Amino acid sequence: MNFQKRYNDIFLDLHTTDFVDSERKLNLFIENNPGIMSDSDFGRKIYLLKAQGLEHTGKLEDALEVYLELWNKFYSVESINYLLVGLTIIELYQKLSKREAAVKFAETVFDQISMNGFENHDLILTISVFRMLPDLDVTASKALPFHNYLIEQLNVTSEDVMDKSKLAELEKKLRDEGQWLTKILATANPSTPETTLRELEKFLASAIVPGFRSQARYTYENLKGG
Amino acid sequence: MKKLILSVTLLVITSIISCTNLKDEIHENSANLLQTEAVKIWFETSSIKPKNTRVKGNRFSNLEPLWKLAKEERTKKGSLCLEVPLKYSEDVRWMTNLGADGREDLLINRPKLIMVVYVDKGERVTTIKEVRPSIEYNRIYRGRILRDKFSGKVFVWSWSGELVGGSFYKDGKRLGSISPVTSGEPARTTEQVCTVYTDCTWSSVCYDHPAMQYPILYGTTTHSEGSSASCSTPEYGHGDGMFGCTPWELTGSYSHTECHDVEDPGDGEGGGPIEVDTFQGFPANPYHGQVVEYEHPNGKKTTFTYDLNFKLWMLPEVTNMRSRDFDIQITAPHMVFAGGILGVYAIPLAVEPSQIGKIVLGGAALIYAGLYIYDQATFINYLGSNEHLEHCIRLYSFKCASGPCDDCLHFCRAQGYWPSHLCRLD
Repeated sequence: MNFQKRYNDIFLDLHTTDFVDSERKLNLFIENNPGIMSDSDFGRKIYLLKAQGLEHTGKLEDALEVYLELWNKFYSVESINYLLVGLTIIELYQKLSKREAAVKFAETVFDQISMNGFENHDLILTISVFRMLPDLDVTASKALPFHNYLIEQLNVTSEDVMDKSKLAELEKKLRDEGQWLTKILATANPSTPETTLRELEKFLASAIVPGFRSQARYTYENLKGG
Repeated sequence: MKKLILSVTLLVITSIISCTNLKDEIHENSANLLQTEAVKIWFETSSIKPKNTRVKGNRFSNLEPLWKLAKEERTKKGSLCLEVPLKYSEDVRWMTNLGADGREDLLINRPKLIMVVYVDKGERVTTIKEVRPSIEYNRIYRGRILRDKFSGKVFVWSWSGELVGGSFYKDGKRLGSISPVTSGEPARTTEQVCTVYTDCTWSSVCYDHPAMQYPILYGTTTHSEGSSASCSTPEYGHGDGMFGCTPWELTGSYSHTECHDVEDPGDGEGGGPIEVDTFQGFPANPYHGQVVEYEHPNGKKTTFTYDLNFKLWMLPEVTNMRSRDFDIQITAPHMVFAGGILGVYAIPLAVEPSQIGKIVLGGAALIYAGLYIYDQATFINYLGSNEHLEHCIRLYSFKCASGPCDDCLHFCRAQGYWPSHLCRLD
């Protein structure tokens, strides 16, 4: 039996029991599968289950600890969902009323993304993290490149990104855009492509996020061709 | 003498006939006055429903009658009445301090409100009936109202927010009446075994986002004995899983007397504690594969598919699994509900279900086990507020063409949109 099958079993068990007793089960699982934690992919997945289990059962302090361990061991700025896990940690800090730590963490995450290149990360989550930074900290050297990036990517004016309330509006708009496209694609009925084409035309007429536009155009062309 | 007897007999017969006619007329008159369409016009053209202003009756100003679900009932006194379930136009998560471990059981279904219309002296009268199950009853029956088992209270309110009366029940038996305590008037505590209680209602706003966006309203009620009892802030928390919450804010308080008696409840209580069906659009005799799009009060929609084998309205996730030839075993017999059944807990019997199946199952089971569904409305509301969950799973299952699809599903479930920059969809 390979790791994948065993991992599938524990995954199934934890989800179907709402992570009840997940700590004990996962410890036992690790004990019975020596070497699994040395595999970086399985190690990351198991840590993630552990963190989720603690979060689901309300042990937020412990969950934060494991998420931080997960973060330090497995996540670099190049990792998939770096920003998503980072945001989860920020949220846990907030829930535990550790506002200062949340802000500090948000600063670290944002700095990493800035250095790595905004284009490698989800735009909407980046705005979320940016908005967590305290005003005093958003110096021109930090804010300006991001503002310029947003203006360039989204074809918006500098007024649209100049303050946090404007950015909040923008973030909401972009999130709605993403959810709209997700809905169009998920509910597309292959037997009535003309309906999906019409929906995509509407979407393309107003959407501004390049990634969403590119996906919409790709699907549109495929449907047209098909 | 014969003539006298004949006259008296005729008089008696005439009286009986006219009495019967009068009764029939009253009945017919009541029935006409209580026709749903007529009541709807009467209600909508009247000023019974309070405007959304800052007055006491404000608590009922955001209620909308579900006219399609109106049904005739008989009051305990035998009068005809019309009952119309009321829908909250604002979604509020209702809470109590049920949880043994202080967490999972916190979320409960909100007290049910029903508009009752009856005829008194030839005129329509309307009240609001609030069915509030006891904590223990809720724990067992999870929001369902079964008349012969009901434990809890039924309050009757005027539309302007004044307490009119009510009854309290245990194990399906009515134990006594509830009456308001008005200022300057002593509470009814001497004539029978009576107790005075004060109920306080609280609300709080929580945010599901670090930037304090997407507010979610929470509500709860606390109870204490005595008419002048002050309202103490609930000790239990709220907004578990939320990003931040405002403190509990007192939104109202009222005192009432509960007296053990054997009186019949007033007509304003309608048919008493009975099931309130707030499901619209679920056909009574569905056929296999029939699809129903359920519209949530917030306007979002969830598609259910009827499965004749299980006699259940299936969740999108379960339908998805069945379409992929998973052998499914449904285990949740207590969720069966008056023909409008929802399958919530499914176990695939496939020997080696793929990761897709497992994740889909995870979603379905998590909803059942993790959210402590007290009634279908709570459950459906969950799906309604997580419409993207269904979309994410569908994209993951059928359209994710390249990239780390598992991670993209994780992202989509958390954020509500598919990360096209990570995983291209076909």
